[in-house]
Amino acid sequence: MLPLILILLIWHLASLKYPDSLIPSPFQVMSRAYYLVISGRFLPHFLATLTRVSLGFTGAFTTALVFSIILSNFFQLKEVSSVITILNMIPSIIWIFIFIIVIGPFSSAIIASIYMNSLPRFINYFRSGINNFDQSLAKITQVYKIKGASKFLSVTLPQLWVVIFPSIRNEIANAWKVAIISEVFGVGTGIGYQIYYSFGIFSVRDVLAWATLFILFVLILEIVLIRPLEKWTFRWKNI
Amino acid sequence: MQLILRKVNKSYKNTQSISRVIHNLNINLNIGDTYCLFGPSGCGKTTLLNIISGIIKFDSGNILWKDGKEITRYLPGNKKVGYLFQGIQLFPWLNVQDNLAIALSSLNLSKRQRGDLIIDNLKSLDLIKYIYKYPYSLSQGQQQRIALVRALIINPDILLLDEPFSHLDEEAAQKLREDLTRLIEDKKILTLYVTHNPYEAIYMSNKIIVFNGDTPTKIALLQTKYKPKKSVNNYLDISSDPEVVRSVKKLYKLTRK
Repeated sequence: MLPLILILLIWHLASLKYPDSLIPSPFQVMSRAYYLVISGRFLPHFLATLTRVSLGFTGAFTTALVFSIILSNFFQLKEVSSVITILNMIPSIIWIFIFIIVIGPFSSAIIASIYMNSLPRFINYFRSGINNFDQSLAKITQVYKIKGASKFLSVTLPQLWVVIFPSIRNEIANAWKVAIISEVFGVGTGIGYQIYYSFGIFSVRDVLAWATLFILFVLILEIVLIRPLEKWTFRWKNI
Repeated sequence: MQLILRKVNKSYKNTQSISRVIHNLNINLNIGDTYCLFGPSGCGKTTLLNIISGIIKFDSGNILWKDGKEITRYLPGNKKVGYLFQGIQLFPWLNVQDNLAIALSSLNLSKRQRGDLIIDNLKSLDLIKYIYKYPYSLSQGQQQRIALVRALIINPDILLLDEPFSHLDEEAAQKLREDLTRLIEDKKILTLYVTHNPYEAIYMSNKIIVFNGDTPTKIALLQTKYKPKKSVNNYLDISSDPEVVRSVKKLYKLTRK
């Protein structure tokens, strides 16, 4: 909490020194954000971005999970590491340009960009999780012939949770960033487009208001969904 | 009825060397008997348990089960194996009930049957109060007793125990020894028990398979006359029993190459 108060204080002091058009005060930005919400302008753009992020993120997460688990049954995942490293080295902006050129300025291009950007990162996370699986627990699984859904839900997934939570945290933030940059280049809806529009009319206040709302949403997601889910998942730990 | 191992070989290979752990092992094990495997470290005791359980594949040889049917290629096959490993081996994210239920997942039982089995088995060791507890909240001794329940709840044909008391304090180990001897007493199962402790070997079984660490793998079967009375102090007192002292001396003699 203290760092947040400190940032707001520095921001406020800076806003006193410079004109509002350059650095608006925190209060002005919050008022504008509040206005965007109650005027109804925020919701459709927010939902547009949220839908794109959800589809791209969930698709990448699911593909990476299935891919990692299936592949780990056949060969060491280090054998695909060079492909994953190459995919990871491709900057997000390249995917965005490729998909907007190939698919066109549509939501599907943004979803594809998020998907391709997150997929190798998720695989990296899951691969490290699978490589660290406890071999003594694998013996128990073998002796008691634990297979199928029981094995996945009671043996595989619990060992992957330790990498699933950090991956979700990092990749949600990453997917939002990719979505917003894509919307700047591609489509006429979404928070990214609104930030770009505000930039076009030189309104720093609006740019910051939209960004604030986006940050608030990610924070709410963390506090309301991810943290309680994490606490429930790791209820078996002595913490 | 027997479990028969014929000319079983197992080596561990790495980039620099091949380590032959079991070489041409021949052994007949009677179902209903409790055998202790005794011998120096690295002589293949745990490897033998892992081969019988089907955890590891062996290089060559044959394994015959019950009516002489060869199960070499189908291990663990249709036999049910309960295995108490060295160290604590419960799934830390599952409570006691789920740790037992997962061992039953491969058996064709209804949810109700599974629940009843779990309750009955926990009651038999007075562990029912821990049914919803997670492993972290149990002592090592309690966790190992739960693992013993898991090994027996499937009604195994073969029970394998790999130094199950090595990391427990003496009080917890004695409690588990008592539980174990009581629970397997009336069951028609083949029990194989690895230990480095000669007194424990004599206390837990009357047939001791002694490995001398030689290649080809040589074993000797030592039949002891000691009959445990299964009282708390009994195990602690056995070192003064002249019959036990004689057996221990014989055991050490047999382990020498």
